[in-house]
Amino acid sequence: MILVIAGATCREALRSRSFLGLLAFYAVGVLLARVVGWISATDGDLVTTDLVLSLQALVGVLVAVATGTALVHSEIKQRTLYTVLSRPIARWRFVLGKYLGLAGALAAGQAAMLALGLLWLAATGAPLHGALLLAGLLTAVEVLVMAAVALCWTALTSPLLAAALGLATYALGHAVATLPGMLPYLGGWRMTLAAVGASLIPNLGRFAYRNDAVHGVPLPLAELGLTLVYGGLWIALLVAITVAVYRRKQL
Amino acid sequence: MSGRGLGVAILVLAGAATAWNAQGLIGHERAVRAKNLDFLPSPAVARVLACGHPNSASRLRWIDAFAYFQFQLDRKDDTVAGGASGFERLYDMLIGLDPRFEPFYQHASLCLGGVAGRHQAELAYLQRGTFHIPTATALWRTTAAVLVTHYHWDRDQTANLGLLLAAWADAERDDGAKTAVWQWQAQLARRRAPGLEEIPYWLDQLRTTSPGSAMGDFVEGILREQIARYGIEILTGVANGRRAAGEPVATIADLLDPPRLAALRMNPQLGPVVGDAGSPRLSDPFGHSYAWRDGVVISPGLELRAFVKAVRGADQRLQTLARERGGWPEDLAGVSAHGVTLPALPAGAAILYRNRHLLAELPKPSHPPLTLR
Repeated sequence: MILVIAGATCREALRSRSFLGLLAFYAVGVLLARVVGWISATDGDLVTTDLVLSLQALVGVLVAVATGTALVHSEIKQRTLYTVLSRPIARWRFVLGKYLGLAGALAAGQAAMLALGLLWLAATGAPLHGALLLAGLLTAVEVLVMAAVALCWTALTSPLLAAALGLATYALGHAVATLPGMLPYLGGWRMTLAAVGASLIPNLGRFAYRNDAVHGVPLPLAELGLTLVYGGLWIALLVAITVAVYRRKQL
Repeated sequence: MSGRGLGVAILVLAGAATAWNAQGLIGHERAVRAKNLDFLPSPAVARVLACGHPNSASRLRWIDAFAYFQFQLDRKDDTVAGGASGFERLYDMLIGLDPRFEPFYQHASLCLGGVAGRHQAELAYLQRGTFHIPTATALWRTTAAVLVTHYHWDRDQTANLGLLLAAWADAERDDGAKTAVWQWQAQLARRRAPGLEEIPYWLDQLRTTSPGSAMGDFVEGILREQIARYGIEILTGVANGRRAAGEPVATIADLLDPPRLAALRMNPQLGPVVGDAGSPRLSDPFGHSYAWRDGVVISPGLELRAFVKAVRGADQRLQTLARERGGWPEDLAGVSAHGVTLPALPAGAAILYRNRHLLAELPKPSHPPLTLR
């Protein structure tokens, strides 16, 4: 049953206007990234590669938040949710199916964006290397974590607020990555408070290998494995919270 | 309204909007743009604001700052609110966002050393560059060139220069590059002709710029200025030699005197004599023939360059006055009436007034200018 829900959700997400619209936006952005590379006085290839990888992450996160927050809400609005829930199906199966479907669509989108981005870079003469593929993979994991964040916020608030909170979590998640360098400026209980607060937010900086990949800095295999486990841990936690909220929610 | 009518209306409106946009984007003349760097976040805050995209944020901020470089080339004062250096604030932020992007250090070197003349600050950035990117050959070469050209390490600090070159050679990855370090030192010694001491430093800076860019034009201009002055010095030496021997100098062609040029140890690549051995001629690096005027050697290219700088200065004064008074003059006559003194015109040059800016129009050189790239 989970796979049936996931399949239907994936198809629905792939057909949604916001998904396709943002993919089109990515394609235009990638074309324009080369123009920025031309404007750059030197190292235009590096500049273009940076922008292409950033666009993949930014558009991916926007797709995840836009689609993730609308997913369950549209089911409630169109009353299709009641058809599903009237069947003998546990709510955790429904939520998990929804997340897996969304994750499948986002993963397909990320793969398409990465392929398009790398093809465009190759076509315009920018050097390609394996690190860029790894950077694309970790960006995709970042997007999947953000999809779980969006789903979790949707369970707790309205879709509009969930989208705003999702984007705020993205900004905070990256701010957390810069915190270790700034924490020593705080002392005593303030430092502890900041550290505890930051620990409650997924550290999205772990997935930003793209900033090193463009310079060809290798990613140790152990580090890659740990990052994937870290992403999986947060996804599991956020989906579990979403399940807990929907189990108690009067729909 | 029918569906077809609406479609046509959308097409017409889209065409008008696109044409309007394109009009503002295409066919612009390059004009000096003022840019202020008073409000740049600190490197730590910038990293937070970059939201996981420090590389892209630094590239976009860097490209946006190009207008500031052009502004600085004319103003040469990067002081920002609070008395800090705008260049240093900019490069601290950019390097804080991505310390592995070599052009940041190259630009810092060019702007702080080349434009602002602050070579100690320039060396500080170069040192940070070689620390973060030890294999950046260009940064090592520029460091060595600064220390030799501006601090005379080849004369006063030979042991330390040796240590620096050894560290550079150590950092290079392949044997060819390691050997090139010592070749660089040998090449430097050969170029130490009086008046050409700074040429290796500026040639290094030229490599970090792209042709046609504001910075590229700036560095090429400095190189041509120095080479032209060297040419004047050489030709004046020939003229003095002839006068001392009782030989008259009536025209510039009289200074095309191979024995005396050889006696002065003229640099064959950068000296004032160009063309093949069969038909040598005297040409400044701007492509204009040197002139003999009132008993003095003149480089018309150098005169024209001074004229261009004077016109840019007049344009800056015009922009300031016009903003203060809230209006621009209608034509060139109105510019003088506005209180802006226009520079004297060299032979064949003119001043144009277009799009509220003063522009210098120069005569075409008689020969191809010296190739620097």
